[in-house]
Amino acid sequence: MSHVNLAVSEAAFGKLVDKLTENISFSKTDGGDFGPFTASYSAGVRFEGGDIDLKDSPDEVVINELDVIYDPLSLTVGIDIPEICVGGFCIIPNPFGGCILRAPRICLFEGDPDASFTLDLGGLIESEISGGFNVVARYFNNPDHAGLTDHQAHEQDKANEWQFFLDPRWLDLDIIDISDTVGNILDGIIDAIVDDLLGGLPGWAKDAIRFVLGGLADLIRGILDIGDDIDEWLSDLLGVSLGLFDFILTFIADKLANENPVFSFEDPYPMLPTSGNLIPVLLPIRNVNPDITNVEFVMTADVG
Amino acid sequence: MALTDHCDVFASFHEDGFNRIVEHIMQQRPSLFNYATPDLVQSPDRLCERIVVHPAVSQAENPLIKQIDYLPIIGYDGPFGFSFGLQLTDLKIDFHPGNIINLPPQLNPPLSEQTLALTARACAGLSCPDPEFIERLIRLLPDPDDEKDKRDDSPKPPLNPMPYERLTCFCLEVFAVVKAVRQNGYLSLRLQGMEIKDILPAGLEDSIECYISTMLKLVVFPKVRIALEDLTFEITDYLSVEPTPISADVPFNPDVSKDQIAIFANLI
Repeated sequence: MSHVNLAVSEAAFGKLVDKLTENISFSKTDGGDFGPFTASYSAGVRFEGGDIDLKDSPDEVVINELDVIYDPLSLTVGIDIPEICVGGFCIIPNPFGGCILRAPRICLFEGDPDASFTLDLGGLIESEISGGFNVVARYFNNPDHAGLTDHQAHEQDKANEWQFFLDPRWLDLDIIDISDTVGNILDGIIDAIVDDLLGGLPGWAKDAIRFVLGGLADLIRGILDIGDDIDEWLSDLLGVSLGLFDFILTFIADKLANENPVFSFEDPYPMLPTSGNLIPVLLPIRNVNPDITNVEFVMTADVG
Repeated sequence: MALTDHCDVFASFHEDGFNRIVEHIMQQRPSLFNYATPDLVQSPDRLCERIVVHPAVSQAENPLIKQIDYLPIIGYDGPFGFSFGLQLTDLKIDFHPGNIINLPPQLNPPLSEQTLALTARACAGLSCPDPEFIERLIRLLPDPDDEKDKRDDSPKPPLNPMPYERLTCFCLEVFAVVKAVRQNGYLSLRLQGMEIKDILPAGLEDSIECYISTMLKLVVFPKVRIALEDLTFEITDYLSVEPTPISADVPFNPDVSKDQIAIFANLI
């Protein structure tokens, strides 16, 4: 029989996981060149909420609907519109050859990008993570402990530890909702870009461009490959093209599995604290085993 | 039945594990269990029982022995006293139901519910002085007639040990029945009864029992109380909990039964 049993109810384990996930966050900036346009994002991501469900056979901690909070999330897009020149045609031809008066030649969209805009998506995208995890106990050999006795390491906060991690078996990120306002904001931005790009041109030039290119707004939508479904476009851009959602999953999986234990304690364990000049009483803890049932998390261990 | 059916955090220690804890406490806090006069503090190898300590005790220059005064010779007003040592060793605990310690009949075995049995060896050693030294001391005693005018009659504690070859040692087997109680966030022990085996006459036995039980109550038990949160492996660093109130589902907290001690806590 094990010397020690420590059991934590499902509700209490949920609190442990809450504290754990609330302390995980990151900021990241990344981008890519996708030919006719470039895109980059700047994201701050943290996690909130979620429910815990413990399962037996196999042991699994299921985290359901952990909210991914984007705060902030800005998407910057640069658009390279194919260069187009209008005008330059002859208004008064010279009967002896050549041209007496030509219309001015105007070339547009020579830059790269020709236009850029930033979408502030903070609070406009709702996504959730769900996953199944095994609880694994690992022994952390604190590198700062080297050369110290266990008691010295304890006093200097450099003790070794038993740590319990959530090792993912499966992990999903679902986009729950992209606010309708994103479509309206994007439409407004594209209209503003069109006005900005063509604003200084004479009417005939605008007509000529419209004749050659069709509607500029439609052209921009085409360049960005925005179809009828803004949500799908945004989700693909952030998730597939820029890999943000994969990064979030990889990040949280690594944090939970390797960096942020759900629970840890020193080894040897301080059972009696320092008293005056007397050293603390430290207990070596051995044979640590985590177990999950349908209703609780149980740790068994022996006193060495 | 789940361990947390009626609480959020449950921690239990089997008596085998608790006895390992006791061993670690004895090895890392030896001065709680070993008492001796200054000469024996300087030469612990002269004590009746060898003191086994954790290396960290020496590294931290912690005392192995709690120093006590030389035992006075009643009526003698000189500078010499007896060297003396008292040690508690082989301390063991047996949680209800009793199956490790055979309690003596005076403690009404079997062990009653929610109690634990405790056994230890109390070893004492007294220095019996060299007779030649006593003879020399006799010659140095002041003339009783010179003592007539002595104003200060208050006893003075002896400052020096009388020379001796070795301590005269004896060990007593001590048995006790103890209750574990929760007090101000600590798990403490309360002595319910004590018995020392094979001492006669009864008055001597009672006196020694009284002395040792008082020592346990006033010295040892208060200093080995364990913070309840330290029994939960620092889970309370992560969760705010309070002891589960006594109820029909949790009639005892701590609960001493099934050869273990268990504590129950709820989320606040």
